Amino acid sequence: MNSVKKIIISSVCIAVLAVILSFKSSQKTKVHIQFTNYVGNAILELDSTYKNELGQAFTIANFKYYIGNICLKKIDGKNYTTQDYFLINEHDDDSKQITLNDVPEGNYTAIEFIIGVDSLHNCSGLQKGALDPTNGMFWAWNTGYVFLKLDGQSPSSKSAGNIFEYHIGGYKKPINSIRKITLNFNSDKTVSSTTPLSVSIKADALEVLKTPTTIDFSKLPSVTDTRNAATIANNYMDMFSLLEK
Amino acid sequence: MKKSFLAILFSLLGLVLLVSFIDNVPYFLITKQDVVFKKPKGFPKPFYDLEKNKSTPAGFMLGRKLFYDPILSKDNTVSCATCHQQFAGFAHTDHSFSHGVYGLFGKRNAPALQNLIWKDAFMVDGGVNHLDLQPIAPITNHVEMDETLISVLKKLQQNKEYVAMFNYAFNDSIITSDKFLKAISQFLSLLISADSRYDRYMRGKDTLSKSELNGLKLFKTNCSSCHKEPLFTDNSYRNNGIGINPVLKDSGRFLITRMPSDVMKFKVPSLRNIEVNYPYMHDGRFYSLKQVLNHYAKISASKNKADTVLKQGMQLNEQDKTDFIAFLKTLTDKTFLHDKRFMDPGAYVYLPEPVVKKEKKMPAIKDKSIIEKYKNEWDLVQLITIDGIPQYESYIDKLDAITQNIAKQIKNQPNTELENLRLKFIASKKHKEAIKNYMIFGQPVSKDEIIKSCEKQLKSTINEAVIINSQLKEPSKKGWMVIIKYKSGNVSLKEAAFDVKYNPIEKNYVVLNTNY
Repeated sequence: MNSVKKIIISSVCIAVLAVILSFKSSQKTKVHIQFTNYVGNAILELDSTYKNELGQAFTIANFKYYIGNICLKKIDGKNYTTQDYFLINEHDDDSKQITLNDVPEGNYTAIEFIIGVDSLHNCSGLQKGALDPTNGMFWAWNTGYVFLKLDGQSPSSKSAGNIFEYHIGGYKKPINSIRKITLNFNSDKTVSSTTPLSVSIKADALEVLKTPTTIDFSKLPSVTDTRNAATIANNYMDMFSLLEK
Repeated sequence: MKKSFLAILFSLLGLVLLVSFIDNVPYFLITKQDVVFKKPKGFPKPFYDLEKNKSTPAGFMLGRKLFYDPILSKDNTVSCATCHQQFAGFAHTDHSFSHGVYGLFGKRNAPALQNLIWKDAFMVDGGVNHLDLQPIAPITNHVEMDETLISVLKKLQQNKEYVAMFNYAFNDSIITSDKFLKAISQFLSLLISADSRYDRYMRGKDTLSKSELNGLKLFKTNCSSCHKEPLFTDNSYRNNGIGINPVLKDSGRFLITRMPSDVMKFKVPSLRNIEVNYPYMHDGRFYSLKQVLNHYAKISASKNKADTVLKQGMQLNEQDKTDFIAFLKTLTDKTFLHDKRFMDPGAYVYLPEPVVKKEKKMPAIKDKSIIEKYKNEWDLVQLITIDGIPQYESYIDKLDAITQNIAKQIKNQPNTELENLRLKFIASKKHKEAIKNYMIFGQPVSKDEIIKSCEKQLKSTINEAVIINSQLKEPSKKGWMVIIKYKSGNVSLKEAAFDVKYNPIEKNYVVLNTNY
């Protein structure tokens, strides 16, 4: 009887040890992603005056956007993905730093993410964290998240207070403003517990206002529903680039 | 013979009255039974996932309080119930458009709130895709409640009663958008109308008149393709040909989808409680059912690009119209319109009608000592108080155990007396549970304690005051009024500086804020 017990106990111990070892073999580590907002080549400063492609002066009062479905790509296809959403807010420096906690060690070639919120999260009721509707990035009358907000003033705008406001959303046909961004690393990035990875991303607010469509503040000072959203979405598609050291 | 019969009758009546008095639970208290979801026969599977947000008595009571509380609006004047009245099937009677904050008007007729968990989208344009998210729209709309979600949560967090209720409902006193909206949904999800005369007729429990039956026949041929039974809507969006309102220029579903084919399409509304939720149409332009019928009788598909199902119009003589309307009135669900669970919990003392429970016929008991044994056990259970707080939880658990033991005994040897005792104990237990639910919001104090506290406060502010007499007056909005007589002969009215509530069950006073 006793010997049977011993066998059982020792086999359980071995199993537990095996599980611990298997965890150890695929170690996980942190990856930091830093977003820095720019206007052209200068770091964005709220209330500084900038000029758009048409030479119209403007200041920025508010710049916010959702980043989600982050994917770190590996050569062997064993990509790392996270379902979390992050709201990058110019007014909140903490929001510009994203930390992914459980990235397996390895060589990564690119980072992929979407700007926006996927249809699943737009259709399944209450969300918490970055997607809490109290964050002010939510349309109550036509359910859905605002993916990007760029608010400010320009003397060229004829609307009250010379303001311009671009609130872009829409997750389903015919207006889908979600855009997928892929940024390839110059060389493979090695992630290990001794050398944690930091990725620095530039987000250029000026790109929201140009290429392919140059936005004229006097003609289109406001986009606050799905009308004209595609125009701006196609513009912000190329607003991200890597700041490689 | 007659006398003994009368005696039996009176003693029976007495027993019923006794049980009913024990059962005197104020209407605003909700028990577990009250929040059980029962899918009405013939209804499809709900769209809303009740498993993710199951109603509890505490959550339901909180949601109901929020529904009736104007605290949700910017100037604290408009509540959900302002435009959604129970007697109108939670629509707004006799109002084409409802008044919002500052007396502003909206552009659309307030829709009825019923069977919401079977809706795939909300608003007449279907702009909102989830029940939990729906309340945000009227709260933030500038002509309705003109608030922000953050501001509402802040106001609630500052309100001690709400903090207690959130704590009770969600085990957490930090009020978040998630808990706030889930509580409202716990109330809204149970607004189920499925007990109209039509429903009872379909279940074989009621009959319809010849006129009503002819109306039903006419309905089935002319209307049921869009107003599909049993919900009386197919949840689709259609242009019913009434034409755009030249002032409001509301193009309906198009505003959401921006698809030209959706111009002037509106969600097909349910016809349940149609008799009471007038006026009709998205802009409330028709005030009577006859006007509505006349519209559909004359409509042709060519007019205002109306839906093709309406192309033939309706051939109705005057009798048909009368019958049609008679049928539509069978959709009025009085059970729903008068359901006490959904009423405004603002007024607090209410004695529900006595409930007479039917007894099963069982043989009499031989050993009477068993009855005595259980009675003794029941009497021995004491309500323990720790630091002045009654421990209802363990008290009720012990009482519950006794009723269950009796139930077990009855299963082995059925008998009437034990069953009566069990029913009596259950009623008493329910009463204690109701008290417990109320107690959770505060501790009981005596009138004297309230007066003493007021006098103490006065003495600390006015050095010279010598109080000779004080008495408690009726509650004010903030607390209780205490009349204080000074030595000088002056009389002043002082407001108790803490929230006091009357507990109608134990007939004592409850302080919501214990830091007085």
